Amino acid sequence: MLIYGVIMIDQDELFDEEKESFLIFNLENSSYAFHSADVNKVHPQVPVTFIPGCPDYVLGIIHIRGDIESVINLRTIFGLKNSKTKKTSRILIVEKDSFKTGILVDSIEDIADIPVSQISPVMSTLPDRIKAVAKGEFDFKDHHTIIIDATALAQQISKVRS
Amino acid sequence: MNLLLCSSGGVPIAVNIDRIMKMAAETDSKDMIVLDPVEILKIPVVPEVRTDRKLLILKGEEPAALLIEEPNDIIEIEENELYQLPELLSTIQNTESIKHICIFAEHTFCILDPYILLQEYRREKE
Repeated sequence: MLIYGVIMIDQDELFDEEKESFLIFNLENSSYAFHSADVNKVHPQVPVTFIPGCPDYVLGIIHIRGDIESVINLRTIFGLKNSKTKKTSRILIVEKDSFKTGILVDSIEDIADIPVSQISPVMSTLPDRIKAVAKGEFDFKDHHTIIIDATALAQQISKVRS
Repeated sequence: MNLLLCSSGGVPIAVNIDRIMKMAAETDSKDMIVLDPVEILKIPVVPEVRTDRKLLILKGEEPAALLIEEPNDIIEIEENELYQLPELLSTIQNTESIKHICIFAEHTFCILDPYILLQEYRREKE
């Protein structure tokens, strides 16, 4: 007698696929992501104090529980139009090596583990300012999501200031 | 350190009163250099906020004054109550005249050194 058995194996278990964790956020109706490890805090909207003598992409500083952090405007760096902050706006504290700053975003979408196989190189049609800091892209909930490399962003900021 | 709290172009600033000889409504010398932080530091401003203007006549050999608005208080603050600007800003700022901030009554004030602003103004003019 032959006995046929069926074993259900989860595809991820079978291939033990490597994944990367991202914090996905929205800016001007587009979806972007930082590596979760590069974001060490998310603050709700807090008053930003303007600091004279800074480049236009610097919104100012925030003071939260004794910590003073700079806040930059990705819109200016990406060449997007400026808009008023929204109720959903948040400030991400991004930290990578010696680079640390707050970044104002329109809203937080999610935190998700994305299989490395689903990450593809950035489209060549992306605007140069975004392409300069983009590390790759993936689809998430039907949105094309661009991965922002914190190290490349730090380099881009130093270019803009010079 | 005693700081005069005021504003410039709507931005809250604080000035060490050791740098100030007196406050005046207008210059008392034609040769006096009037330092306007709004112009020198390119502070974006709506004209309506530039009310209650005063001149802080600076101590020093050269007649110079700092144009400010809305002087409203003098506070005493310890050195350890000053906060340095975040490292990112200190490297990208185009002025050395603002390096610290202080927090008073939940408001953040940029501590402006008018002597350094005067040096930067002179360098710009040269």
